[in-house]
Amino acid sequence: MTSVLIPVLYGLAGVCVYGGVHHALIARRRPVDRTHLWFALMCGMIAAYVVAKAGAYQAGSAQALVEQRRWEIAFAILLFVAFPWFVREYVGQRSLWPPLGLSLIMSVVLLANLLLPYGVVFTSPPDLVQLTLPWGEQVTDLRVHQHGMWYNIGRLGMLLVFIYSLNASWRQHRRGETRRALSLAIAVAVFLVFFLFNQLVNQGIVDFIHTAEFGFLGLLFVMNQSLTRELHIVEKEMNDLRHQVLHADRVARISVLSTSLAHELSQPLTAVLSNAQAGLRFMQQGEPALDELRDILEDIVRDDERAISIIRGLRAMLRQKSTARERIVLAMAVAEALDLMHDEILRRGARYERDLQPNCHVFADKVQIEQVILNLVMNALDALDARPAGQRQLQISVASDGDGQARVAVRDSGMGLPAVPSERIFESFYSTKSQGLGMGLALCRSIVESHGGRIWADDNTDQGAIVQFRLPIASEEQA
Amino acid sequence: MNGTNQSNVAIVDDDASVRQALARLLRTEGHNVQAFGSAQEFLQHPAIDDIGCLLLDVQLPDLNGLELQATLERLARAPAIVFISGYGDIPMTVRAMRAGAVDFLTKPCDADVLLNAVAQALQHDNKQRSQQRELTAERSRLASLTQREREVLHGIIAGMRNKQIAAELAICEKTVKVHRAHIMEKLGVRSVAELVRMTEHAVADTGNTVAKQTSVVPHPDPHTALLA
Repeated sequence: MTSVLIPVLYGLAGVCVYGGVHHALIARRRPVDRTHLWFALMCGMIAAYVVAKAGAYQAGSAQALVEQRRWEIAFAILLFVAFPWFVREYVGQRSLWPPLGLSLIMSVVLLANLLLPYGVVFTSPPDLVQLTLPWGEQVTDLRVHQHGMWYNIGRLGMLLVFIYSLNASWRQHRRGETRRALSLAIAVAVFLVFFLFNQLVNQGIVDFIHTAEFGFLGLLFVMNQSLTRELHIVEKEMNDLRHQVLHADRVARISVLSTSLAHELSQPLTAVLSNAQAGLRFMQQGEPALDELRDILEDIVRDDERAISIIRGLRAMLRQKSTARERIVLAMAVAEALDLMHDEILRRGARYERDLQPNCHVFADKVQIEQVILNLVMNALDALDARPAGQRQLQISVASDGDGQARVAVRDSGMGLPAVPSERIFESFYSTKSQGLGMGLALCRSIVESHGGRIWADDNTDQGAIVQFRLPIASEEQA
Repeated sequence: MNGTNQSNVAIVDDDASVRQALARLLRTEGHNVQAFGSAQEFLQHPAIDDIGCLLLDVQLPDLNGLELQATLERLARAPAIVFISGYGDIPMTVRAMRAGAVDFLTKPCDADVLLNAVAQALQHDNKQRSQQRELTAERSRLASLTQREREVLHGIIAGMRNKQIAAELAICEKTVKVHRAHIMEKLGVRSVAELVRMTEHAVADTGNTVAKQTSVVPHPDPHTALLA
């Protein structure tokens, strides 16, 4: 009959590999938290253990079976080398000695397993036994009659690891992190049950195959649940924090612009007031021309809309909640950001040209894109302060690169980039300004990259610098 | 307002709708309004001389309002300036007023305040113009003197008696008297005091103008410039 056990084992190995890769990727993203790294390593060891075990069941001869078993046991020991370190990271314990001692003991056992002729479990060639599993499948397994010293050292080491883990879980519970502690305790308990069951098989008390892998799997499952849940909480916190930082940056930028914005708002208000008063005076002076009055009212409406659009832009920039991503015209976002800065640019004695291709659509958070423009243009203005008044030039362009990417460029005739590798200026807390926090460009990079784009900076061949970013152009369906 | 061609008002503001609204308001007052989008545009206007009042925004592309004020200052005849700005911080206002602006208004600005300021500027400009006219007349009268008459005039102003002048110029005293009578007649004055005042006035103003045009070094001796 066909085997059920072998596919099940390979299936388990697949699950372990998947879990390992998943947590390895998380570990790469969050280098500070090494829990995921150790967990990924453990997943890999369990996968290797299970594969070796499946090999043992398929071995043709007694010799091959013993050899496969040696590898299987090596991976099990390796797992116990890593496990204390994982527990240490998981409970956030600082003391180094317990995991170091435990993994040293297990490492010595591992070495012995590789050097001894029959590994640590067997002292002589073991007996082969034929077992019939409950569903009728026949497998060949090994039985040991006499255990050597190394086997007992190994078992002792494993028991110590269990004790260490349960103790760590208990201490975590005492610290108030009961939920985490409970997950660890359950995982260790499941593991322990299967470990003890294995001992019964080894002692010949139970006549069944070794089933430690299911214990491992229980451990994996419980830990994975716990780590993933926490990750969600942490990522949500990170996301909230990111939005708070972005919001704080926008508020700071707008407050710098406040003088210019007050001026920007006073323009349409001036026009509205003057137009309205002109209209009133026309009426006081007798028969007013209706055409003239209509022109006046139309102008008032237009200027009022202009004021409203400034206020709307401001409100969007100052809103704390993030707006949804949608299909936007890139040129429009850039133009709106520039409208907010128009007066500031003039006030700082700079001239600017805009060349905005209107046909580039991107799938983006408009406010965040405007924030990037705000940051880049304000940086450019700072770089221009060092130049004499007549030579402060800015160019802002939006264009399609033709390869499915749109490109926004802010070019200035300022003092150019600082003399460091240009990627450094996008790092947090890198600043050349006495009052700068060094967050502006780091936030720009964070925004651009979260939109699937890239941002970089170069010196111009003649004068000043150019900062550009690319965003994928949104297809028609993304609406 | 006064209906003459002197109520020419110019507006320089880079914002088209503000420009148009202000122009409209000024027209209700009967002013003849011309609007410009930048300082350069205004400077290219062929008849700056005819403009009585300039309503000037501070924040402009290229040349800003204060710089335009300084540029106009160097010209022989500048219109009276009323600033109107959305910023209007104190140092800026002080600088503008020191440089001779009639008023500094903050946007948005009430019609009465604005029209009042423009009226004042025009009045100021009118006064300047009539002074200018008077000055021009005085100068042309001074210019009509002959060489000898000028020499005599120089002597009179220096407080010399006829006899001293005659000795200085090596002519007889009677001739000095004749010249003196001619001078009084040509310049339209009746007393020596009046003669001195008018000459001083014309000369002093020339000095200013010269100083303005060369902008750095005033003419070494305006008296000689005019009287020599």
